[in-house]
Amino acid sequence: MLTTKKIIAILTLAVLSISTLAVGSPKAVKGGTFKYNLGQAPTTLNPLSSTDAYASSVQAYIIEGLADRNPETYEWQPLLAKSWEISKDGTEYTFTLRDGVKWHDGKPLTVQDVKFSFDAIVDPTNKYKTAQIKPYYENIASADIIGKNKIKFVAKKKYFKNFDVVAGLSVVPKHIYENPTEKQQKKLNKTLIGTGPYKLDGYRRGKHITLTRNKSWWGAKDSKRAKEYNFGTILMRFVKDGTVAIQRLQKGDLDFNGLTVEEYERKTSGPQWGKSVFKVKTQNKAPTGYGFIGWNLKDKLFKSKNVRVALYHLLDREKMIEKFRFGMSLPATGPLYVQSIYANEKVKPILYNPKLALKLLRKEGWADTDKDGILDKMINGQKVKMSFTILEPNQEFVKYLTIYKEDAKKAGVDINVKFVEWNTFIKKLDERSFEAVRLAWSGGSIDWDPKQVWHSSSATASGSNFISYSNPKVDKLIDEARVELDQNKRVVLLKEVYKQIADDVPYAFFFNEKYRFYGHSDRLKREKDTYQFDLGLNYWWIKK
Amino acid sequence: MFNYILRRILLMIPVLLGITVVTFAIINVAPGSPIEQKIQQMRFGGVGADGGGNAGMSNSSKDSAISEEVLDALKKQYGFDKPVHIRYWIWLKNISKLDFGESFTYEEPVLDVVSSKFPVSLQFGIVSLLMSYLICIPLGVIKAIKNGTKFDMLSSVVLSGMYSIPGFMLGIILIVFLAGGAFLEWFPVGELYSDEYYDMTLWEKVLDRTHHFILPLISYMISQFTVLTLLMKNSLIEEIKKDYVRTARAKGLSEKVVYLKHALRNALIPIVTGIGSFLAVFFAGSLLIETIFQLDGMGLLGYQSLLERDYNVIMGLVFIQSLIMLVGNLISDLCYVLVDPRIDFS
Repeated sequence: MLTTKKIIAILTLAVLSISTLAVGSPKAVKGGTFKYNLGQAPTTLNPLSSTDAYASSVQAYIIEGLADRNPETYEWQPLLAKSWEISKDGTEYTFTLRDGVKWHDGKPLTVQDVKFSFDAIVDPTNKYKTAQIKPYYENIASADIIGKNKIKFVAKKKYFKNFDVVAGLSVVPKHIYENPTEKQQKKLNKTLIGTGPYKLDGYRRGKHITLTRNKSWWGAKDSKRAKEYNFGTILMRFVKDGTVAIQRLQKGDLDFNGLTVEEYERKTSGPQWGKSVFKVKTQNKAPTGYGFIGWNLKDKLFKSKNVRVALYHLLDREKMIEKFRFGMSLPATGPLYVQSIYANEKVKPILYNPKLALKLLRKEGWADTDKDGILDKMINGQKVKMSFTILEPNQEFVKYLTIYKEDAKKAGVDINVKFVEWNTFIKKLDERSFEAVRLAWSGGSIDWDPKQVWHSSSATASGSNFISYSNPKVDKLIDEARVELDQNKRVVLLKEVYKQIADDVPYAFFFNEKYRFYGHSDRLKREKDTYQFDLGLNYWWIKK
Repeated sequence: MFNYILRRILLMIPVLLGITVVTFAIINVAPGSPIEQKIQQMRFGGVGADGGGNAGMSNSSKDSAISEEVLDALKKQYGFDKPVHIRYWIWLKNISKLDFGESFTYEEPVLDVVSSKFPVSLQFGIVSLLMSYLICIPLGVIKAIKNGTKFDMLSSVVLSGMYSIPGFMLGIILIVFLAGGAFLEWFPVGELYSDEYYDMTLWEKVLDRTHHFILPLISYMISQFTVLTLLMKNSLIEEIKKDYVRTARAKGLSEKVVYLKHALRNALIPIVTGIGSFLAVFFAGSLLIETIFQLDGMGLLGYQSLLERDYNVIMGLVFIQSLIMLVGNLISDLCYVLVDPRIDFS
């Protein structure tokens, strides 16, 4: 017999479990126009061939995948697939499609559409110009229809990201993309037909894109999804210049605009701020990138770890954070943002300490023998000076390196900073014709796979391990982590990778961001400033 | 005269060929091709030179090596499986059919891409050309007549002030002070028309466009204004010193007739040099001003095509611009004949 207490407890639990799954405020209302800054016009909207981030931002409202991530828990949750099964060995994924989903043109979504979406990408004749997304799917062997609404993806080998790749596959309508006539083909870069919560309403080149809410979206009837996508219309503007974007936000031409720390501190004051327009400083765990100076480890100057540590000790990151980042960044400690579950909290940052730097350099035999103010050393019978060039692809960052250059000079290290145009920069990276480079990695995925940057097999000509970092122990741990499907076990392995890399000091890591900044109009309402892994714009609404 | 024009037109062909060969060679030699752009996007997630102080490339968590198969597919996709000279030959053959190829970035014919940006540049080009000639020539003449007076000095100070402000800087200042909402709110911020434009009556549309047009136009015109005015003034002053003007004065003609009838015609010669460049208004464009005022014009297109190594668009732009420049020069030369009877090409 169930007692009343038990019933209440079960009901509470049930309510709690639903509320942890469903995200969004009960206060949310539907309707209104949300004016959003896309930043720049997308080049083409065709989901098969587009490559720019602006296009994917538009597609995110219109095209859906099989599953998506919960912004609060980061767990996969059903989208076009209502459920899925993963085989025991982790290489087969069977998805069951949701019933009653329709394309924006009224035709029903079928499992053939899903299969086509995959086959089009991997098509060996490259009929659909998908070369740029092919590498993501190289590990997936096939997509087979195994029932009226069931499809099975088979992976070539075990890898923890295989599921992410198939679950995130953008499902496009086969009847539109498979065999378009020449006339239709011409339109594909300006039109989009999806199953998603918004329909493409209008695209005025050089002006804006408008999306309207898809009234027959399947999610509106789904209790877990009902609080999502509240805006009646989304008007996407293309404001590239930061100052102008802020002016338009102040004026009400925009409802939301991301801010840089400098804009947050310096450009967001005035009579309207705090009244009709607000600025927010918030934290969340979405990946943030980090900048670095990478030492060419094949270069004789940087072979010794002590030298690398010494050069790191000459980098006054605290001064840079104070001066240019308004105290809102953290000195990075290793090859991933410190807020990540894979970052090893035991690793401490290497901070500015010129005395220690000099001590280490002396220990390595560097001394100013000819009294010209620059340290030197005999290497293989030749006198080598402690003098090198850092290639920099971004003019804006030169000011940071100037501080470094000045501090290093006092310690007898001669650093030249050379600004290089992006394409030339890449060429120099590929040819390995550099001593040191300043660059940055963006956040990437929450689930870290260090192979691209840190595995010795990535030190090929076009690989991302251009500094030629190689540590057999790190290689082994990365390989193990890639086939480990249990996240907790992966955390243990990758924390060790993090520590090993930080210990080897292949980069001088710069900063991790503490906050995210944005401005919004008073029309825009939200449940909270941020979710765990996302700002969650999809759950915000416009005040009536 | 006819022979001269025909000769000039025939001469354009080797010149154009030369320009396109050199451009084609340069863009092919410069580091980074459309293929490499795509490869970079694959490797680094599409973050290019714009990649901010913070991020440069993205850590996209996939095997970094790009397979041969993908590379081949890409090369074929963009026609790069053929050697450079063959590609140039194909390009040349297509040009003769007025086919400029397809833009790699926009996935549509180059002519469509270019013509979609035309209207923006054209209206700024035409209006700023008209405005500068209508204002600069009379202003220059008045300055020359009143040379050394208070008006002349004061206007010179204003003109040099205008010259020293870069157009894009002025654009930002104008937006912040006249359109931003923090100070005065007289003008809309950027773009060519309002969101409600399509529901407006014709008259409202004209007003709306004019309203949006003023700030960017001022920024466009600011620098050429000074140059043209001072050129006119100096040219006229130079002319006045000449003997024939002195003779005219000595004959007892009024100052008005001396200046406007005798001296002005000759003083206009250097200004006429610029007349041929009126054709360039089709391609008027300024990257920075277009960025600030969110105008999708030629300046931005040219710049982005260069960054993205969109070869077909670059070649298309160079070809059309060179052609316009050559025709413009011819027109300038013909104008010389009209203005200055001493010049005779035949």
